[in-house]
Amino acid sequence: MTAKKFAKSVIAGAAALALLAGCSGGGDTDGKITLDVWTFGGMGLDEAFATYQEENPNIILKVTNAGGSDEQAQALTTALAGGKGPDVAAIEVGYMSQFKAQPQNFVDLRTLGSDDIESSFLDWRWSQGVAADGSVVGIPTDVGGLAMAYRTDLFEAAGLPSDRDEVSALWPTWDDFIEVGAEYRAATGKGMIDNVNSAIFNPAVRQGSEMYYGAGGDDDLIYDSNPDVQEAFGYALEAIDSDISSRTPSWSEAWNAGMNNGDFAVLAAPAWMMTYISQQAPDTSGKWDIAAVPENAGNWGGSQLAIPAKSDHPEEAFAFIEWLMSPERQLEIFQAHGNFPSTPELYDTPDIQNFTSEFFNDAPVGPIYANSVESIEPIFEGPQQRIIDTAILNSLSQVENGEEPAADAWSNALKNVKTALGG
Amino acid sequence: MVLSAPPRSAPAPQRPKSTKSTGLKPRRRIKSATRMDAFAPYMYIAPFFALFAVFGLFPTVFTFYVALFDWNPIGGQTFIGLDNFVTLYGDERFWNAMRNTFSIWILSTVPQLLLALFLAQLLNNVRLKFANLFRMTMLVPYITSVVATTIVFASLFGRDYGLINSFLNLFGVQSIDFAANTFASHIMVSTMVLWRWFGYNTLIYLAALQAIPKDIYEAAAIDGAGGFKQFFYVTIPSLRPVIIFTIIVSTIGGLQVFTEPLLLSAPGLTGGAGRQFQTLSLFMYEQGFGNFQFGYGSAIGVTLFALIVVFSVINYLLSRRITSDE
Amino acid sequence: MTTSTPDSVATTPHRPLKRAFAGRVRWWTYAFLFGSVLLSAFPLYWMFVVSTNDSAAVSQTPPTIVPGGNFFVLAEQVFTTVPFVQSLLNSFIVAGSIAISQMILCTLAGFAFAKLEFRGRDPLFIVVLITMMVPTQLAVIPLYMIMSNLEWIDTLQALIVPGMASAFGIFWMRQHLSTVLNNELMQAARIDGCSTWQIYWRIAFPLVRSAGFVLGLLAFVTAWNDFLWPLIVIQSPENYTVQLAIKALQRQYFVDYGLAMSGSFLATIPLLILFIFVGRKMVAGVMDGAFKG
Repeated sequence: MTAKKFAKSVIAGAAALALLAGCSGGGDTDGKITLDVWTFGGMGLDEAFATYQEENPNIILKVTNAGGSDEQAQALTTALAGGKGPDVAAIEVGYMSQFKAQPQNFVDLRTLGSDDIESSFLDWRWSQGVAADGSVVGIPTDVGGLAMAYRTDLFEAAGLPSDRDEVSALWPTWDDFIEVGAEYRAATGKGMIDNVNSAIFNPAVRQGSEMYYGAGGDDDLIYDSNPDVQEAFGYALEAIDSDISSRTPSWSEAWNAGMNNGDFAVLAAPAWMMTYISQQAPDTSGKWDIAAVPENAGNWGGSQLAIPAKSDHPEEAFAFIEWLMSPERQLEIFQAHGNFPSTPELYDTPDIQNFTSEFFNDAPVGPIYANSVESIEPIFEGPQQRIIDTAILNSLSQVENGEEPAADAWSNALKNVKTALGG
Repeated sequence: MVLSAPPRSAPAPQRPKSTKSTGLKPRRRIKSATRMDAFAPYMYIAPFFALFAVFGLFPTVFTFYVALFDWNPIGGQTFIGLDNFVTLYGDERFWNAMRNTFSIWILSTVPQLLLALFLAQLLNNVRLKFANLFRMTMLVPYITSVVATTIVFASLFGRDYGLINSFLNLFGVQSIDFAANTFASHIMVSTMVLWRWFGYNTLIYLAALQAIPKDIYEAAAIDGAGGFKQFFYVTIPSLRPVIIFTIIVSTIGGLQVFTEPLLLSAPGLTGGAGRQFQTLSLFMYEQGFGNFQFGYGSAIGVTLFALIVVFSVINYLLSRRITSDE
Repeated sequence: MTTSTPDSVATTPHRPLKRAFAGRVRWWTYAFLFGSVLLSAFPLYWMFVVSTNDSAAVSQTPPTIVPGGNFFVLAEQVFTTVPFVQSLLNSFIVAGSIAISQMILCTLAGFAFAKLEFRGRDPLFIVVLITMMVPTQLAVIPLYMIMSNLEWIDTLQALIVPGMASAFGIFWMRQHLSTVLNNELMQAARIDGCSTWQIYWRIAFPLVRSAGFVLGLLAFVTAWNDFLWPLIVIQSPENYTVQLAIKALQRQYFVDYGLAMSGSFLATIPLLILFIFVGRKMVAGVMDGAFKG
């Protein structure tokens, strides 16, 4: 008897013992179809859901916001483990590799016609939803893109140029970026960036064509030999050594306050972060601007929309996703929430090219983000992607916080990854 | 049942003097009168055991079973025998979590119980005014949810904007990054645990203090023992079983500290970048839910369970020895 | 042990006994005790401070430590951001059902374990004791699988039914019953022709009503504050318990601490109100747990 069979029979027996009869939920009423949709905070899809609901009276959208992307991933894990799941699930890209390593849990969207829409999405972004066996697990939502949000007032006070083109010109490379940070420290005594993980390592490590996995697939781990990884790691260490960080962890209370209070002047800002900053630091409107990220490319965030295999209405679910992630809809979402479209056909249109942000000193954010995401190459992300990433980022944080010497950082990082993978 | 048992509020130990009918075998048994009555006991315990079988026993036993597999909750399962345990006992992160758990346990339990003992001593005076106010406010932390508590304490302990650091700055002390430093983070978590339970333990001690007959103190006073001597030679020995009980209950609770480090850890489940405040149960949760290694997570759970059983047995033996000593 | 009514012990917490200590109370005793009151109440007060100020006020150096006038602004946001009223109601349903059911089921089973003789009693009681040691997080996935088979995922009964009986409750009620209901009394009742059920219902139950009530209170508080299991098994906002509602206020991408604190404060108020009425009983119950045994 296999483990699964055994488990099933035991559960069936145990369930039979239960005193109360279950009442099943989620049934379809009056021939209407209910689509269970799981999202997480900040996806900016609420208006689009409302529109869809209006246009499709025969479908009832039951939208659940699971909280953060971590909670969402855990909720989806337990749901799939229990043999359940929604009809449409958003999966944050960080978790995507873990889920797509088990493609049997999801409908292969090629069977529903994903081939027809593939060409309208960015290649590298599309590939994040494709499993090792070639099945399409998830359709991309927005793309993070990457730019550097900076405070013009603080730059001026530090005697640095504040014009966005001049600022972009200050840091064509990461070395230049760190040098500017050192100048900023010398002039103000403060750290220029929030933390090295999100401002330096994350963007830098994703600027190559390979990251932790080589071309060989799931077993081809190259995190310890890939020079790109070591280089990005080196930049982060250099930045710590030059003391350019204010050591403020992302998503912390201090981070939110720091945006307002000027505890740091530069923040790696994917497109969706624009809304976040303007909500956290409303008093700083007009004091922020957007410059290019060193080396000109980068991405942070985005998610895929997947259809769990247990869905009762995969076709309707796919039609919904297709509608939701069509270029027109993505443009609307971008205009309302700043989530940048993953469909390049929009990038040359006036809607994007002329898009500016008032909060960010009327910066032409449209073209800046378009430029940042177009030069990204597809990177293969294996099942342990997030675990490796966490181990390396944690080692860097330890150095940044002064808890571990920089000299041991790389070997510690490798050791941590090994432990994490062996466990 | 399992999920709702108050984790630390198990009732107190058997007091040494009252050995009456508290053991598993009462001294005298009453024969059941009728056939119906012979069956009745099973009816009384049936609802509990039916619920327990489905929602308590089965999931627990199943966890032992899962621990023998390489078990991806959304993927395949392979039987690997005791491999998970072998790997676990060679896993640095496990020993780190173990160290953290015990460090947080000691840092929260020792000051907590000393404080509780001290406050109980202060409260144990019939002439005290506002006695009920004091007793009641001490239970306020117990009714405040851990989620709310953690949000508050995380903010109080903040590096840049935390009230505690502002206070320290007044005295010229540099701000401490409580979340980043191993020891400081343990103090932060321990404070939350201490805050939650010190009042509860104070009341338990107070009850025990009130049970000490006054004549023992009078006799000690006649023998010339002052306040401190009375405390050490009368109070402490009389409280010994209760103290041991509270230590063990705190240990069982301390071994399971979970929600505080989980919420402090967010985003992520590692309990800080250096896993500096990752406890055993958080490590179990990280492996199971974060990394999809449910077999490995179950092995951690089983180990945790074994640890708790060991401590409970020690508890039982210790309190038995003390009882027979007297 | 005397047969003096345990009820009085529980309602008026430990009336001064003859043997009680009655020394002079010095000023520093009050100083320390008021200190501990401050310690106990401060985090709640701080919750209130943060939920009445805007976030800028508490993220400055030094931060403000007095309440501001922003309470209703944030409170309104709490009610509009998450279905807060619904979640309060859900928490009441869940915690209330669990409390009532534990009072009934645990008293029944506690009575059987304390006072009745039946085959397999001792091994079964040891099973109960062992259950108390199982780490709560251990059984989460199997439990989820059961709920999934029962099609109870995302329903309130998934929260209620597993909590309906507790090993702790049985242990607690058994301890109380074995002290309170002595064998002489039971034998007398038997001679009078009482059946087991009558002994339970007429004699045992009234004797431990108070302990049962305290058990219900403890169960209520525990269920009200439970976090992990609801987090896993509940998905829809309309089924949120109040703890999930607080967590939802802290969404990853739009963290607003003022809002989260405000929610935490609002979520604690119902328990505080309950506590004002039954706090004395709870104090007595906690002390009773140590006293008996």
